[in-house]
Amino acid sequence: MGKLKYVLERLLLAFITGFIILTITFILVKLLPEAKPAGDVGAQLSYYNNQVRLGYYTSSPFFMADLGDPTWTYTADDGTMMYFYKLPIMTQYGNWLRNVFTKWDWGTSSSIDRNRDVFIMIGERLPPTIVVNVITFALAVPLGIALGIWSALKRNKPTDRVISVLVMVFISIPSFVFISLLIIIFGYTLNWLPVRWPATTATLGTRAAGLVIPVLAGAFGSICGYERLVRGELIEALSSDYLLLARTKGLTKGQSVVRHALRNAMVPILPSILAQIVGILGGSAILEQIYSIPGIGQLFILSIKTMDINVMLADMTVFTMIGLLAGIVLDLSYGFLDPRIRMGERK
Amino acid sequence: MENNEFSFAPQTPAVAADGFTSEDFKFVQLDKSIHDQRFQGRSTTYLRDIVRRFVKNKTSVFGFCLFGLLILLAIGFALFLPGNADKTSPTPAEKQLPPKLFAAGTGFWDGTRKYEEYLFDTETGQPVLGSLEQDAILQDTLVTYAGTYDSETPYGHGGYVVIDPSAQLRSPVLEMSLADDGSAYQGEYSLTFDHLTYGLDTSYTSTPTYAIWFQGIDNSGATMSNVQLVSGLTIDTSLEQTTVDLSAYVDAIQANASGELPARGRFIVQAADAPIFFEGISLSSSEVDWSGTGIDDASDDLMITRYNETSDTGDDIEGYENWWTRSSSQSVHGYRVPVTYCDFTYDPYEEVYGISTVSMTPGTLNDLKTRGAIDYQLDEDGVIIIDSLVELSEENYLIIGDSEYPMELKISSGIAGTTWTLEAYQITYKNPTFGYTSMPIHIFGTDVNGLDMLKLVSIGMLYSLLIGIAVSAICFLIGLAWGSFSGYQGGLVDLGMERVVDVLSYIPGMVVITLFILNWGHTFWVFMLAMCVTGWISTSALTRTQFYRFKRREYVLASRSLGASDGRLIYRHILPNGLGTIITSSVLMIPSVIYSEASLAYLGLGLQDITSLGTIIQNNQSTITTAGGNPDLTYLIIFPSVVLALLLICFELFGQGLRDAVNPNTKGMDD
Repeated sequence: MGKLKYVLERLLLAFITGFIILTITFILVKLLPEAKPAGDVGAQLSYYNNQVRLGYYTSSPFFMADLGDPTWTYTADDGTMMYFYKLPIMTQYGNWLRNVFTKWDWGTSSSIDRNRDVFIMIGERLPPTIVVNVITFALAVPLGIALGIWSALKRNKPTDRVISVLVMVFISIPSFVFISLLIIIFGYTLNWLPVRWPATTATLGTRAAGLVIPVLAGAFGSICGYERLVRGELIEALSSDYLLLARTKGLTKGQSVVRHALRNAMVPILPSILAQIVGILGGSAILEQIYSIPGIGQLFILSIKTMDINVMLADMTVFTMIGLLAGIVLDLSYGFLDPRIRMGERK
Repeated sequence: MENNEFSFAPQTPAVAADGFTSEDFKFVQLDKSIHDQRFQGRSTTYLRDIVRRFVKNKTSVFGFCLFGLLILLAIGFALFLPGNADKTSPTPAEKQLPPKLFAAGTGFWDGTRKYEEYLFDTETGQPVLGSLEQDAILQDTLVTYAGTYDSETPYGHGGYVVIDPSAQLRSPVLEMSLADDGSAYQGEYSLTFDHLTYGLDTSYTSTPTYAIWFQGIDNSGATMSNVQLVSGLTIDTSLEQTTVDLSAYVDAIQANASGELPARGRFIVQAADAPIFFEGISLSSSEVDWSGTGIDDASDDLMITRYNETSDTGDDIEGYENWWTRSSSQSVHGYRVPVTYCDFTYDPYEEVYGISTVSMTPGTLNDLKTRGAIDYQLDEDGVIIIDSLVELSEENYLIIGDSEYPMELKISSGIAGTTWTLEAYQITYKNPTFGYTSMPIHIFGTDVNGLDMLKLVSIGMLYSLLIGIAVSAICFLIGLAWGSFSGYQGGLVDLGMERVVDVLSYIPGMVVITLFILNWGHTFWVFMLAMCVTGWISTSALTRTQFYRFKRREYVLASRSLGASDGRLIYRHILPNGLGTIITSSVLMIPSVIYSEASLAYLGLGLQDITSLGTIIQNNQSTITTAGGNPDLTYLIIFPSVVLALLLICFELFGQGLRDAVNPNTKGMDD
C-alpha cells in the first residue's frame, strides 16, 4: 500500500512539475518574435483563422486601437478588411490549456509544414527517431555491460587499462565531432555509407546502410557510459565482504561473480537502462540535424530556425515529458529493485 | 618533564581522626602549567594533504600538466603567432591553405596537396593548370601517364568523334558548279567515314541509324531549309571505311538571282536513336578531285580527318570556313582521345605567398627612385633604359594604400628585348597583401576566410575555457548559497526550496538555453545566464547533502553549546568539511559546460560575438558540407575537434585525481 501511495505521490509531483515547466516554457516561447506563415494570402488567412480558433489571436473587421497594432491585415477581394490581433500572453495561456486539456489540440504549423496539425507532425517524425534509438540501445547496452564486466574482472590488468583509456577518449570526444568524422571518412572519402539519411524511396540496402553512421555515433557515448557504470559497480561488489563469504562457502569464482556480484552490481544499472528506454522517444537533436534524420530532434532545430512557435512548443513539451517520465522510471525502479531503499521514507 | 610529574609527598602529618591531614588536600600543581605535548610528527594542512594525495596519482598529474601546457600554448599562440585571426577582416586570398609544419615536399604535414589526372601538354612539357600556378608545382613529383579523354581537347590527337542522337555535324561550306542546262547548281560528292562504329557508350541499347542532309546557302549568306538526302543509314562495324555517295543541288534561281556567283551549301550528318562514333571523315567530289592536287581553291583543307582537332568555336583558327562544325550543343564531341595525364604535388603556399609579377606604372617606379630604392636612366624618348635599372637598397617596399609591403625587385630578362613604351614595367615582388616578411607557415592551415587556424583555435579554446570556468563559478556560488541555507535550516524551508529545485531539475537544459538565446540574443552573457539557470542544481544538492552530513556532528553541537552563531557554525565548522567535494564537483562541471557550448554552437545556437571551439567547428563543418565533403578539407574539423577532445580528456584525467585526493574514502568507487 505504501508503494502505491508513493507511486501516486510521485506521479502527482511529476504532473505539477511538468505543469510549471510548461507554463514557463509557454511564456518564454510566446515572448519570441513569431514567424509570419509562409505561402500565399489564402494560406496565411487560414493560418491566422486557425490561430483565432485556438484563441491565440482575435480578429475584427474594424481597426481596434486598444489592442495595439494588428499583426496581420487581410483584405478580401471585395475590399473588406479583417484585422488580426495577438492576444495577451496570459489569455493565450488560458486558451492553450483549454485546447490541450479538453481537445488535445496543439495548433498548426506556420512554416515547416504549413497548416498541418502539430501533433500529427510529431507523430510522423517519431518512427525514424525510434528506429535509430532502438538499434542504438540494442547495440550499446549489451556491449557496454559486457565491456564493463570484462574490464572489472581484469581490473588493473592491461585489458582493463586499454578499455579504460579508450572509454575515456571516446567519452571525451563530442558526438557531433564523432559523427562528422564518420561521415567524412565512410561517407565522402571511402564512399561506403550514405552521407545523409536515405529517402524513404531508397532501396532497403541503402536505408539499412544509412542507419550505420547515426547508430555508431549515438552508441559510442552510451557504450562508454555503461562501461564506466558497470565497471565501477562491479568492482565495488567484487571487493565486498559478501563475495568473500561466497568464495569461502566454496563457490567458484564464476559462480560467485554471476550469482552475487553481478546481481548486486546490476541494481543501480537497471534503472538507468529503463530510463533510457523512455529516452528512446526523444531524438538527439544534434545527431539528427547533422545526418538529416527526419526525427523529432531535427524538428526541434527546424522549428527554432523557422520560428514555428506551435511546433516548438509541442516539441519542447515532448522533450520535457520524456525527461519527467524517465525521472519517474528511474526513481521508482530503484525502489522496486533495491530492497534497501524504502520508497517515500523520510530522511 | 617536571610539569607532568605527579608528586605526592607526605610531610609532617597533622593527623586527623580518619588518618588524613589538611596537608593531604593541597594543590600540588597549582603553580605549574599543564599542557599536552606537541605532536612530534610534521603537521599538515587540509590543502597540503590534498596536494600530497593528488601528486601520487601519476595519470592525474600528467593530465594536469597537459592541461597547463595546453593553456600556455594557447595563450602564446593567441598573443604572439603571426597570422590573421580577426573575423572582422577576413583575407579570402589565404583561404583553405593546408596545414603546414614541415618544408614543402617532405610528404607529411607539409602544406601541399596532391592533384591527380590533370591534362599534360606534351609540347610545353607542363600540366594544363587552369587556375593553378605553374611555379607552385613541385616539379620532382610530376608523374605523367597515358590515358584517354572523352571530349575534344587541344592536348590530344585522335580518338573518336561522337555524334549524339539529334545532334548535327556540319561540313564546311561547298561551292557548286552550274548544271549543264543552267537550271540548278549541283554537285556529286562522296562522304567517307573511317571506322564508323557504335555501341561504345553502353548506356544506349538501341542500334543507331544516321541520316545526311543538305542545307543550301543563298548569296546573302542566309541558310535555306534542310533537305534530307539519305536517311536510315545503318552502320557496318566490320568496314574500315564507309562511303556514302551523295548528289546535292541548289536551285539556280533561288540561289543566285544574277547568276554570277556560284551557289553554296553544306552537308549535315545527324544520328538517330543512339550515338555514332567514327575516327575520321572526308568529303570528295566526283567532278573535282577534292582530295587531290591541281585544285586552286581551298579544297585541300576540306579533308578534315579528325574533327576533334578543331577548336570548339573555331574563331581564331585560320581557314575556319573549311572546318567541320557542330550544331550549338556539346552533343558532338571527341571520345577516347589519347592524351597524357599527370599527377603532381602542389604547394598552395607558393601560389599565395610566393613571388608574383605585377605591372608597375611609371609613377610607382618614380616613387621607388625618389626613395632611393632603385635607379634608372631614361633615354631621349623618355623610355627607361632597362640595362640601367639597378637595385640600390635591399629594403625595398611597395606602398599599396596606406601599407608598406616587402618587395623583391627582379628584372625579367625578356623585357629588354621587346619594344618598350613608358606604360608599364614588369617587376616581380613577394606577394605583399598579407604583410608577412617571410613565407608564413600555418600549422593548422587556414579556414575559409583565410584566418590562421592555430591562432583561431587557441583563441577559441581560451574562450571555451573562460565560459566553462565562469559558468561553474557562478553555479558554484548560487548552489553553495542555496544548498547551505536549505541544508542548514532544514524543515519546512528545506522542503520548499527542494520543490523549487525539483521543478528546475526537470527542465531540459537545451530548451532553457534555446529559449534564452532566442529571446535575448546569441551573446556571451545570455549564454552564461542560461547555463546557470539549471546548472547550479547539482552544486546545491551536493552542498545540502554535505550540510545534512555534518550539521548533527558532535563538534558542531559542542560549538553551538559554547554559543557560536549560525554564521560561525556554517563558515567555520560545517562548510570547510564539505567544501572539497563541492569544489571538485564544480571543477568537473567545467568540461560539461564546454561540451554543451560546443554542441549548441554546432546547432547554430552558439555564441556569435566570440569565437569558441564550438563555433569554429560549426563554421568549418559548413565549409566542408558546401564543398561536398572534400577530403582535402578534413583538417578544418580535425584540428579544432582534437583540441576540444584533448581539453576534455585533460579534465577527465585531472578530475579523477582531484576527486580521489579530496575524498580519499571514495577512491576507486567510480574510477
